[in-house]
Amino acid sequence: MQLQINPADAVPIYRQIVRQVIKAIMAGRLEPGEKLASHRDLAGLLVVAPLTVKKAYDELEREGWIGTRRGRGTFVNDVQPDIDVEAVRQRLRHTARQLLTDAALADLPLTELIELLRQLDQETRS
Amino acid sequence: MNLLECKDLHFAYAPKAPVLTGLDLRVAQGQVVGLLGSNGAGKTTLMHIALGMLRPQRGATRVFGIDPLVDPVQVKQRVGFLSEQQLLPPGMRVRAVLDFHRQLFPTWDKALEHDLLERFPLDLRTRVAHLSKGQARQLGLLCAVAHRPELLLLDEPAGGLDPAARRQFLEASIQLLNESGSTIVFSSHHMTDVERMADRIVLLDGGGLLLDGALDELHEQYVVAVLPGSGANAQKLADLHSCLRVRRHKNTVHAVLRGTSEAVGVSLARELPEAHAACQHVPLEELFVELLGVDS
Amino acid sequence: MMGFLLKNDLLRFTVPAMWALGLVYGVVMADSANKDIATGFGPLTIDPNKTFLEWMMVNTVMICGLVLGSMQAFRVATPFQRTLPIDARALFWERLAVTLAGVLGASLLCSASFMLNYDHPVHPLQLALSVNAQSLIVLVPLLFHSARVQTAKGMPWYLFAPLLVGLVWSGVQLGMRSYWPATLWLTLSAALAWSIKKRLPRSFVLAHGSRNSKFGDALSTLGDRLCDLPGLGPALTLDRSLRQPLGLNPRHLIIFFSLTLLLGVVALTRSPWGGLLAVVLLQMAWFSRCAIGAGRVAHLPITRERLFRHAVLPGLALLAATAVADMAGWWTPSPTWPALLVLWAFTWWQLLSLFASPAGSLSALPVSKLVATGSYLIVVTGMAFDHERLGALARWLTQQSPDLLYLAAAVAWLASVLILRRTFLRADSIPLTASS
Repeated sequence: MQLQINPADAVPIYRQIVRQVIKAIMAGRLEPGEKLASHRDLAGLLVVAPLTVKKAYDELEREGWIGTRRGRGTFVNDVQPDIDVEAVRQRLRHTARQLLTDAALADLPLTELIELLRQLDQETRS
Repeated sequence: MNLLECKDLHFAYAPKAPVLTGLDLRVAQGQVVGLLGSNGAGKTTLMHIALGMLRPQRGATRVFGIDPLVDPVQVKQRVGFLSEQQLLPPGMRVRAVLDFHRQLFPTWDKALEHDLLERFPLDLRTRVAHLSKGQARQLGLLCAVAHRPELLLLDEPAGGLDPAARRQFLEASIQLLNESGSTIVFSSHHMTDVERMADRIVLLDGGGLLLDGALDELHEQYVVAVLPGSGANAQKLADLHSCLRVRRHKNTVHAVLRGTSEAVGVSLARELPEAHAACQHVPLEELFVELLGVDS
Repeated sequence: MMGFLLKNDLLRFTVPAMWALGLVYGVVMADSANKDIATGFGPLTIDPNKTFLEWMMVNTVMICGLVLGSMQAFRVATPFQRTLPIDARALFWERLAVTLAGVLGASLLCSASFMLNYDHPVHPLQLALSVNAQSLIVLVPLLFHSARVQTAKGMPWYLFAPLLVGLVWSGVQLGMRSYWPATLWLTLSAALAWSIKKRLPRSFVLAHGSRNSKFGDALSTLGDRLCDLPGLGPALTLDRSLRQPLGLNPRHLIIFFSLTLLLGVVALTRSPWGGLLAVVLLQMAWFSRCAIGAGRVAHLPITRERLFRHAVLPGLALLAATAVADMAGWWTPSPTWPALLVLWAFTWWQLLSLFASPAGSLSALPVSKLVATGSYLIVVTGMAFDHERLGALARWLTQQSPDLLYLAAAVAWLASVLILRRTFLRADSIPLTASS
């Protein structure tokens, strides 16, 4: 499992790990039932504190993405949790507000912003 | 149990230059504390006081519940210390240094010593003066951790090292954390290293604590707001209850506020409706610069 | 205590060396007094008729050195040692034990050997007192130190003990009308007091190690330089449970001990040439270390050429000059005995520093250079007093007032040392050559 963390990012490291694992699961890079690296191994690989990895794993477990089996290790759950659409919507609202404020500071019109979104959407799909 | 406890520490090297004015700090077992602060903020001083090397003018320190001024030998046997400066005798060979330390610490773990020697690697016959800076630091780290200390104090452990050496150092430290789960207090100027290793941040400024909290909380609970600059804006910001620090730049005003970016955004929209304030969570380095930097 | 002493490898070398030196010193001084070698005006010779006072004058110089050196004992631990679980108290007691064993033993042996070799009867008590007075003056502050009383400000009152002792001693000297020693002692006490007040930091934690003070640094690095033969072996002392000297290279001890023996043998053969050779060789070795140290501090490349120029050449020049003078019949190199005396004093200091010196402090190079150049000057001054023409000057000065001579010598020493110090410390005065 390839994970990249950026310690200089505003997003805390554990959350970066959470997001990337979720993305990997959703994109199919991590199969249901696949075994994840132990948090000590991952800590050594990523060169982050083992507690940080543990925190990420705990959160993933809480949200229902992975599960720990005593003595066996940590595995991706067979059944994926439902995406909490409302939570995502809230997050997007907040990100959108950021975008709009940044654009306003630079005097960029809304139309240009929408055009930008359209362009990026095309790139992601292709 | 608190491994390190400082109560109302006052320390000054010279009468007119106080370094610590009433510092309170508690480090519990298993924590990894990143001690931050500008140069001269008192990070090294704090560590030296914890080791009993300095006597504070006022206040009390307890390490493992023991006063380091009363029983320094006990404290030092259970604490691993890596100094910022190169203290090892320059003429001693690596082997001699290790022999020397081995005899002083009853809990010395030879297996760990060999393991680390191979990892680094260090040639036993080299004299300390002929080691590169990185190697000297590694030797220092080896001496500090090989006796399995309950508390590890690292003073700028990666200072002056190139990125590769720093990464190696980090890896060794992470491995140690993995194996022994020791309590670590380290001071550093490399925020990326702090982000990787620490779970708690303590920021020293002006003789006391400016910030003390879990690293993740710091990310999520503090924002930096940027507004177009004007004296009135700066003053209004400074008056806000949640504002920690306001810095003025040429055209803008930077402020550090407590709260999530949504909450702060809302409150700023209310207090300063005309100013378009952009507020966001920032990496630790930005936060540090904003809190400790000077107006430009 | 004895068991602990015997386990100490350092003691097995150092203390016997100190005793041997004491023995040699006694013989040397007795011989000098028997032969009435110098005119009796030289500051470093002994007039048998004034045994007690002359002894005191010579010893006062050394006493001051020893007390200043004993200040090092207050720096109980180096920065390195302070981070380690070494019991500062045990460290201190160990040093005290070694000092006692070495200094007292050497003083007693010195008195004994003097009495045995001196042709005229000497009141043993007088002699014993004069020789051992210096030991007592070293020990008094150390004993106070052991009391570990601290004032509210954290500055131990007994740090002022050397000052008190110095003041008392000056009074005694004044009473005996030894103005020169009294002045010297007063000045040194004042200097000590000033250092303690100004230079030692407020948060002086004695038993648990102090922060570096420049003065203490200077003293200990002087010790470093003095005993720093090839390679840099720091002299840390033992933890009671250890058998090996901590970080001290046994090779250095062997070298030092052998050189001491060489000096003793040479002195006992009473060969002035041999004595001079020994002096010059040791000075060259010593000076080389200072030159190397200077290079390290000033970041100058130290080359064999520079070493030759600044250390070996002066020694050889001195030797050559003496040979020429002897052949021309100007004077005979009998004043090697004063030179040996000086060397003994510094060796003593070196020994004291040997087990109290820290690891790796740098700042005291100028002091060691001062001492090195000073010793050269003292040697030369001592020799000059026997020179016909220069001796006349010395005698004239003495006729004006006995103390004037000594004061003149001291002033000349200080002046030359300050001049030479500037020369040595100025980087551009040392020609840069490619490093070898």
